[in-house]
Amino acid sequence: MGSGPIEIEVAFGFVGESILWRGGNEGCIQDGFEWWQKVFSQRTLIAGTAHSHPWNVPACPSSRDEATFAGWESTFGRRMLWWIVTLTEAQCFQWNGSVYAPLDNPPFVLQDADLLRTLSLDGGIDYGKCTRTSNA
Amino acid sequence: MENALAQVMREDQGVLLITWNGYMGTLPDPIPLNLSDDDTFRIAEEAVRNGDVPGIPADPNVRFRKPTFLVDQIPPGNGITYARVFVRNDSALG
Repeated sequence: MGSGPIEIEVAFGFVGESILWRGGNEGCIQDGFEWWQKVFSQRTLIAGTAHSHPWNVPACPSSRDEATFAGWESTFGRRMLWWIVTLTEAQCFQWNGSVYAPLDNPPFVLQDADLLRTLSLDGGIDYGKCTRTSNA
Repeated sequence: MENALAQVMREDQGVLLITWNGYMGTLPDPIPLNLSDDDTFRIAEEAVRNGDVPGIPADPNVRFRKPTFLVDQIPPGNGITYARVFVRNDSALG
């Protein structure tokens, strides 16, 4: 595995269950056709994605994150939920008509927030730990 | 649709696949592979706006722009004999 924490993303379903995982690097998760294809093909099952910012920082989306949130929502034709998980916080964001704003009461708990942190700190995805998921 | 298009395409052309609003569709005509991304976006927008993409309901509000969307050209391979050009959302995160 790598030398430091990396960003990891998980696409989750409508009760917060993990469906697809992928890993990035220390500062970002790059676009990938294979990931895109898998998420799009399972669009009826996916409520949103969560990704890690594996540092001691407040959970908030970057401008790159927000562009990607908007792109998925245009592609899916519906609003979605976007979790950002840091080492100290897990926050769900949703479009409120003006900005991606934090939700005080998200409709469900993100089931694998701790696993997302652990995998980020381990520097990669051990798919053996992701027992309810498939990989991408 | 794609296979029928493949029969009439030249090597410098590809099939344009568009995803929008929960749907994926294929433009009925091949497009040149050397188009700029902006020109490819314009073709895709016009086609969706006019309802010219089978599988995608017409939408006057369609808009493809970077950095939210990208053009992804996939060369022939894995049993597919023609190039595919996807107009799709960018999945990168920062």
